[in-house]
Amino acid sequence: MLTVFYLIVIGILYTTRRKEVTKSFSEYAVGGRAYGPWFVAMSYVNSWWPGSTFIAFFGMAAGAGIFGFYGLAYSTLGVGLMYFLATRAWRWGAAYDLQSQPDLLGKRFDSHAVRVISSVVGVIAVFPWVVLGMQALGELFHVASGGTWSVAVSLVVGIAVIVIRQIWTVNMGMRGLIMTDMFQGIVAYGVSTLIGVIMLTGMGNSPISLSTLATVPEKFLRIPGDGGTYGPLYWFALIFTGVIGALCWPMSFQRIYTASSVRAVKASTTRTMLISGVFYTVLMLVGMAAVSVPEVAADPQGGWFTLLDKFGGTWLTGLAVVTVFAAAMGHIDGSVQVSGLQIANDIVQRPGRPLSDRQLTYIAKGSMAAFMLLATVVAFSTFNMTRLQLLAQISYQLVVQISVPLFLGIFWRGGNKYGAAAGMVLGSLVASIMTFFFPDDIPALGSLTGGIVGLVVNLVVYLVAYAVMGQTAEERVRVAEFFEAAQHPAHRVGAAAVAEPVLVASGADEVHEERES
Amino acid sequence: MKEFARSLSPRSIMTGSIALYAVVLVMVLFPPAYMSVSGMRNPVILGLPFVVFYYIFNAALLGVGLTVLYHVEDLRGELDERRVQEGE
Repeated sequence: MLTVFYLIVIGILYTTRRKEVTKSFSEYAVGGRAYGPWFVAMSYVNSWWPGSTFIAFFGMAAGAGIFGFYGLAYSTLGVGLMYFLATRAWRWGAAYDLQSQPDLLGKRFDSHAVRVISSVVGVIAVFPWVVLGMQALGELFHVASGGTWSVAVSLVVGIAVIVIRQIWTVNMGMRGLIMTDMFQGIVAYGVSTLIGVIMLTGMGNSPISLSTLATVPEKFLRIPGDGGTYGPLYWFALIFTGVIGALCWPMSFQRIYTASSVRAVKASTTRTMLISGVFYTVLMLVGMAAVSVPEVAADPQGGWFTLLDKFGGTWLTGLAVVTVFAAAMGHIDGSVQVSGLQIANDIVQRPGRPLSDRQLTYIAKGSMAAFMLLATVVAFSTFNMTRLQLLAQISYQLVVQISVPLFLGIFWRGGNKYGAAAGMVLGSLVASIMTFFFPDDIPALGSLTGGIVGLVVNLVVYLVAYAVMGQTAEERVRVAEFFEAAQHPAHRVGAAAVAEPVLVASGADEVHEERES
Repeated sequence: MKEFARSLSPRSIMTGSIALYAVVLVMVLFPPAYMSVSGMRNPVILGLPFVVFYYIFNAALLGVGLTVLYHVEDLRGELDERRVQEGE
């Protein structure tokens, strides 16, 4: 079953190949900004939920009940935020030919340092998740082999499969990614939702049903911080970090730039909420209903596989493995692609050394290969190391530090490059150090997390730098022009843009085409 | 419906949208709000303990709200811009 799925993915990649991928960096990086809402939505969902959603998040619902639902709250509010900044971010992307989130920040603050810092923070934050994703694939193949392959062999196979898959990710860039995301997404989120709904109805000797939920023990309904070891602000910290982190992850923001229009971004946002919300809700309800199944209670993280094995034997276990594999592959693909893109576009490329489209594409490909190689080495050498999980936690607290210049920069004309750069650096340092000493929460602060403390420092630095240094007259004019570019659909910016395609308000035919896409 | 959507001022649409987002944000993130539903089983709604329903309801409220906003903006013709590809 896994092999058939894998071959279909490869088949899709071959049939959607385009020669122009190597000619234009925009084509390679954002698929020529040509995608309609369903494609962008599925791509977003794919990069949003890693394979571990079926393991770690499911484990939370099956082991701690309502705890798992924090993922629903932060993902809905986080994706919803995209709707509110879609118009500005997309118009800036189209007007200035932006390819990535650091590209936007660099342009907003007219600072290469801001661009590099935000790019480095994003790439570093993504890295541990790719390593964990590879290791999760190892565990997946251990399950797929029915336990006959050792963990070490399964890890080798899992990593080999995903590394081979990246050959196409590297070669084809965003276009290949989006086309396969649609198929992978249907399998990962569509099929699992269908199975979940069937199980919840209690059909076919299902080991769980919706009726179980009304009788789950009260401890599964208690929010973390309502008694127990956590303080009352833990739940707030978890969800708040998730909400603002939603657009800080490089993969999320780049979805705006793959969209063909403002309509496509906004429509894809509502569809992402629909797909993601329904999928995740059903998965959590299944997990919560499964608290009554002794085998799941004994190993909540393996609950998805246990349930499907009890429900449909080997055949459904195989399907469970494929759903997790599809989700893991989509997440790793998106992470590798955007990391390579940001390294080329925002770190290697400098104002004094603009690169041609061909050079940028080659560097992005090389960076993706190097990123994947490094992740492979780390995945092998850190297998079974709990510290890696800590790195992933730090990375989450780290990536949200981009939010201060990103959100304030998009919605407010104030601030300057000094505050943006220093705020991100100091916020990241504080967040990393605090998370190292308090990996989960800080009891003395009511269970706030290190990332929140870093954010406060970050915000204070941003505002103080603006209060003390302000903006030069020249900077005010530049920022005013930048914001003006987001006010009108057809506005063109600067002489360089003359050679670019123009922005227009489309006619009825084009609207129709957008809806069709 | 079309006339109503077109008659709204941009400011009132923006205020309504931000208010909806803020309401969900407060219900989900404000400690007194989430602590008040912690552990609540009753009333059981659609077979779901109340605290579970509460989180699903908030997610649905925002999802439906933004979908309505999308259709309002569509009726007002505010979404129809795109980047024309070279050669078109």
